[in-house]
Formats: sequence, C-alpha cells, structure tokens
Amino acid sequence: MAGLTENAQARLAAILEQSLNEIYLVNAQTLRFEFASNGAQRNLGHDLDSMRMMTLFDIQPQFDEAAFRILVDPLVNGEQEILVFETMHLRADGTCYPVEVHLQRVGNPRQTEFLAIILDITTRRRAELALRESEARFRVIVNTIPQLAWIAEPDGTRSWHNQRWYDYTGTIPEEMKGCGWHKVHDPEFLPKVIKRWNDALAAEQAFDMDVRLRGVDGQYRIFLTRAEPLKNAEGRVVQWFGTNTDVNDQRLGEQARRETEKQLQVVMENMSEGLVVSDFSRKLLHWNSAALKMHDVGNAEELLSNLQTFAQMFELSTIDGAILPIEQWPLTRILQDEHLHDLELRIRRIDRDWARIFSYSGAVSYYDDGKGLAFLTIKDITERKYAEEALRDAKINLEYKVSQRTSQLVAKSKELENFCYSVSHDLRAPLRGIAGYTRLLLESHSECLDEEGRGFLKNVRLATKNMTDLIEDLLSYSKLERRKLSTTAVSLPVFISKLLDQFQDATRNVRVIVDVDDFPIRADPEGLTIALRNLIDNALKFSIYTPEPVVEILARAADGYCVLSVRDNGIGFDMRFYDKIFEIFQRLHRAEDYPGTGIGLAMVQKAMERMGGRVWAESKLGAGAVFYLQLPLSGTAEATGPAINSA
Amino acid sequence: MNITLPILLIEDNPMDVDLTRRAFIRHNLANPLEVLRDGQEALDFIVGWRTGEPAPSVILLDLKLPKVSGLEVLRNIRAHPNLGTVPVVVLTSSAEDADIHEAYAMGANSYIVKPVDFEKFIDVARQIELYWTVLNMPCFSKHV
Repeated sequence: MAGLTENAQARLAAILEQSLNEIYLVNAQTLRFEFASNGAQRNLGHDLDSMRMMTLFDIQPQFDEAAFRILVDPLVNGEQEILVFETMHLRADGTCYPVEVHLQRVGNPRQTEFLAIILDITTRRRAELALRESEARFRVIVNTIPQLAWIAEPDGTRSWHNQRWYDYTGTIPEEMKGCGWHKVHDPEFLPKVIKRWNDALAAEQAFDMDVRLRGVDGQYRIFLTRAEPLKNAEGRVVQWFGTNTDVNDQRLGEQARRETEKQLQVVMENMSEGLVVSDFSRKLLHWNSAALKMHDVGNAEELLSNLQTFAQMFELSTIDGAILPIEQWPLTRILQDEHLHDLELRIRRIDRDWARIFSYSGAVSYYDDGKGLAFLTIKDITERKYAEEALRDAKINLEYKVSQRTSQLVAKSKELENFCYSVSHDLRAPLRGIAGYTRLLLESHSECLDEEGRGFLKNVRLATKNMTDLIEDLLSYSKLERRKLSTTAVSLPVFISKLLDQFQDATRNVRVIVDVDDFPIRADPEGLTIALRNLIDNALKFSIYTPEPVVEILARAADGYCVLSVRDNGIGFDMRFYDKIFEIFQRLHRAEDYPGTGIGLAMVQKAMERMGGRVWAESKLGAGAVFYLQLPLSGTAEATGPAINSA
Repeated sequence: MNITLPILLIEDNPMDVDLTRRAFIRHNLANPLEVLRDGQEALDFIVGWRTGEPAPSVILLDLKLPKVSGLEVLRNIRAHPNLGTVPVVVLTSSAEDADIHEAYAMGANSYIVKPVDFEKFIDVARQIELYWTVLNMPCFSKHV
C-alpha cells in the first residue's frame, strides 16, 4: 500500500473488506487466510476468525498442500506473476461452487503473501455446460443425418467433419484438416469446385453445387453440396456449415431420363413421317417437325394446339372428295379407340390454295393407370397418289391401245381367214379343171398323143396332185391354228388303237409295238390325232427302206405330264438340222425319195402348242428317230368350245 | 315318182359346170341337168318358178357365186312356199367349218366338198344321182 495516503489506504481496506467479490490474502508460508473480503465470507459461510484458522486448500478440496505448493511454485520462484486456474470452493455447508482463481504474489520478501481474487463462475460454467450439451446434441444430429456435414473456417479451411463424412470417404480427421477435402473430390471438377467455393467465401453467400466425391470404394458419387455462412452479432462470418447430400441415383436417373427424352426427341424430329400426339381432350400435345412441314405451317401457330382450332384452317375429305366432319377425322376416330392403318385422305387449306393427300395411321397407347395418348402418324403420299393416277391413266390408255390393236389384229386375222377361204375355194377350182381335163384327155384322147406326150400329161397330173396335197395340208395347218379346241377325256389305249386302225394297210409289213399305260388324259382329240397321225406317218415313211421296220408307240405318265413317244428304226436325221424339222415347208429329203409337203411336223408342233403341250425329238442319222409328245395330265391350256369327237 | 325331174346345178365356174355335166353323163343321167350361172340367176329362177312346174329333184348349190352368195340363194329357196322342201346339196370347194355350219343352219340337206381328183368327182356325181334322184323320196308339195 506504499504511495497511498493513510486515508486512502484506510478507504481501500474498507473497500476490500466490503467487496462482494471474494478476495483473500493468504500467507505464502502457512497458506492460512490472513484476510477474506465480506463477499468471500458470505460466499463460503465462514466468518473471518474461522477463516484465519483455515488454509486455502481447506476451501479448495481439489488440492492438498503438496499439490497446491507445486501449483504456486512458479509464483514463489518469481517465474510467473499471476496464476489463473479454475477449481471448486467448498462452502461451510458442504456445497461447492466453481470459481476462477486469480492468484498473485504480493508483499515483500520477508513476508510473502498471495492475493487471491475469486470469480464465482457458476453462471459461466452453466453456460459452458449448456453449450457443451448443445454441441453434443449437434454432433449427435450431424452424425445421425444421412448427409455428410462439415464446418469450415472463414478462410475456407475445414475444421470439422461429421462421422458420415469419414465413413463415406474412408478418411481420418487428420487427413481432412485444412484443405484435405480436395483429396476426395473428382480431380476433373475440383478446380471448378474450388473456384465456386472461393467465390462463395468472398461473397459470403450460400454455396450450392453438385460435386463428385470419392467413396471408400474408390467410386465417385454425385453430392449436392450446400454451405451456409454463420455470422456473429457484428455480421462477420465466423464459420461455414456445410452438408453433402447424396443425389447420385437421382441425378443419374434424371440424366438417363433426359438422355431418353433427348433420344426420343431426336427420333421424332428426324422421322420422315409426321407425328402428332394428342390427349383425350383432343389437345394436340406435340407436333414433330415432319408433321409441321407436311402441313406447311410454322410451329408458332396457335391453331395447332387443338383439333377444333386446327379444323378452322384445314378440311379433310376422302380420296373421292367427300368432305369429312371432324367426328370422322383420323384423330377423332383414334380417340374412340379405333386403330387406323393407312387411311388415305385428302387435306386442304381453307384459307389458301394448298392441297395434299395424306395417309394416316395411329392408335391410343395407354400407360400407367388408365392414362393414354393418341398418336397419329402421317405420310404424305401426294406424289405417290399422283403417280398411281398417272399410271392408272396410262393403263387405261394402254388398254385402249391394246383393244385397238386387238381389233386390228382380229381384222387381220379375219382377212387371213378370208384368204384361206379363197385359197381353198379359188385355187382348188382351177386345179380341179387341170385334173379333170388331163384325166379326160388321157382317157378319151390318149391315142392322139405319142408316148412322150402321154408322159408329159402324166407329169402334169402328178404336179396337180402335189399341188392339191400342198393346198390341203396348208389348209389343215391354218385350220388347226384357227379352230377352237375342246377338252375331252381321252383313254390313250383306245385312242391309239383306233388311230392305228387307219394305218392297217401301211403297217402290213411293219412291226408295231404299242405299250401305253391306261390312264385318262384330257386333250383335244382332233389335235392329238393330227399330232400322232403325222408322227406315225413319218415313222412309216422314213423306215420304208428299212429291212425290218419297227414302230414303237409308248405312253408314260410322270410329274403331272403324259409323255407319248413314237420311235422308228428308219433313216433318222442329223441333229444339226433339228431346228429345221419343225418349221413349215422345211424338208430334209428329196420329194422323189420321201414324198411330203413339209408341213407335217409343223402341224404336230402347232397342235401340241395349242393343247398346252410340246414336242421334241432325238435321232441319229441312219439310226432311227424318236419323237416325244408331252401333255399336261389334267386339262389343257386352251379348253374352249364343245367336245368334238374324232379319231 | 317322176324320175325325169331335173337336177338343178347352181355353179358359176364354166369348167366345173362342164366337168359336172360330164361326170353325170358318165352315168347316163336320166334327169336333165339344168344350170344357173350365178346367184342372181338363181334368185330369178326361184321368183319365176310357177306353181305346177316340176320342181327339181335336187339342187346342187355352189357357195361362192357372183352377185348373190350361195347361202343367200339357199335362204331364198327355204323361204319359198313351194320350193322350200326341195333337197339342197351344197357342192363346193370350201371345207371351212364356218361354211359347213352355216349351210346346215340354213337348211342344207347335205354338204359335199368337190374333190379335185376327177375320178373321185365322177364317183361323187354317181352317188349324188343315185341317192337324191333314185333312193331319196322327195316331199311332194301340196301344189303337185
């Protein structure tokens, strides 16, 4: 108390004494109280006299003398000027209260004392406890929430992470201190994250960003990261509190959906068909670009939003031109659960000169529970339709031309028939004259002629005969071409046997072998007779100089056909001339050796053609020939006219 | 039966007429052969025929005649009230199905294709005469 006036000292002593704070003066040697303020006496419940009998560690039960001496050693040594520590004070009634002790050494070296100024920190302790509890609750909460959570300092360094953070990332707190969090971010996106984080720090604004964090398994997942700045009373940021919410599945789902949507969009926009989607209220939800283009309208037009407004601009009609009420429009029909497939309609703009032909298809598709969408696909078939019409016109035109040509041909054919009629009539009459008068001449006036003259006459008659044969054959051929064919069931064995009856004389010295399976065929009997008779004629004719002539007639059925063959062992022919033998008037031999008009095989071919069959032959010069006739087993190609029985 | 009833030949070709005549002469034809040379002459004959005149025992008719066709002549014969029942034998060069069909459809009694060969023609003449003037019983019309 040096330097103070006595008066001042007395006042200070009074103040100390009366101080409501606990103030003690303790003998450093004995550690007994030498002084205790009123406040101290009141707080502890001891009066000053009793207190003078007590030591400091009597009211501070956490210490014994030894411990206390160790504690105050730095003060005693002069190493420290003041010692501040917390401990408990024991009241006279046995209760305790927390205090903060400010202890310093006072006095001179002879008499050392400790001045202890005590703060009752019960309230503070209570507040601290509350804070600790609150903190504990906070930790429980942040360790319970599904998010990763952390606290960052105003400079952005992390000071705390919740357990989930460590569990997810597989890290330990030491690693995460400061900027350790960088390690668990996807390096690809980290620079961006850091920049955003720094921006948020600078602006003191909430941070909100999707980031990719690596899990303990090494896989990255997407987290929605949010951080809020915590500000003190002055509005300064003291901390940041952040969370990371796992939105990986959600984001990937969204991404997949977006991808699918984008793909569908691409498909729809690139379809060549128009696509219009409608709901049940006839609201037109979507038009793809092809549909817009087809209708020659911009996508901004209001009237495309529903069918009624659309109908104010367009008119639909059938291909034949009957205008359709909206109830019969494709979309209306689809909405009534009808499936449309290529419904072809004409469409016309009411306000201007525009018309197309569209083909509509579509149906209602249901999804979820009872929800549905009507979709209508549209193809512009205008060009195809026009082409079809042009084709139809061309076809009609062609048919007209064909019918014209046909009638011309019919006329020509008629002319040809008339020609044949003339041949038959007009050429035969003079021939008959020649034949008749040469006959009469030879009969009645033969004696007027010499031998040579009679020879000449005979040659005239021979020529006449040849010409007659030629005309008869020609007529038969033309008749074969023109006549109507019948389709008659023919029994081959009977038919051939009857035919051979006509060759009785000619086959007197010929071995005739007939091996014909008994199966009925359907053919034109006259045509078949002509074909077979000519073949038998030929077989006999060309084997006339053969020592032991054999004619073999076979018939076999196979593969829906009947094949008849006529084989001889006559002179045969060179296959080099094969193509010639069926041509009309073609002959391979001199008339004096083998008489004939050269029409026979042409007749055979014509007859077979007309019956829907064919003829072919095999031969070797000098080794006989075999001719085949093939006919379909059931019916003939040309089956008209009444049955004619011949043969 | 009056066997001297004439045979009426309607034929334009003079050679055919001559040969037909000769063919019939071969067989000492009892019936006179009367000849009409074209379709018009035939029609005139039909129109000019008087009731009571002897009708031909048989008419030999060529189809291809100048002016009026043989089929037209045949139609007129058949339409005639009294000559309608006289047998008509078509004697022609045509073997066309259409001709044959039409001739019969119009009431021809027979259809013979004239053979080119004279021998055969003579035979045809003989058979015609035998059949139509001897064997065949003509229909005596109510006018006789």
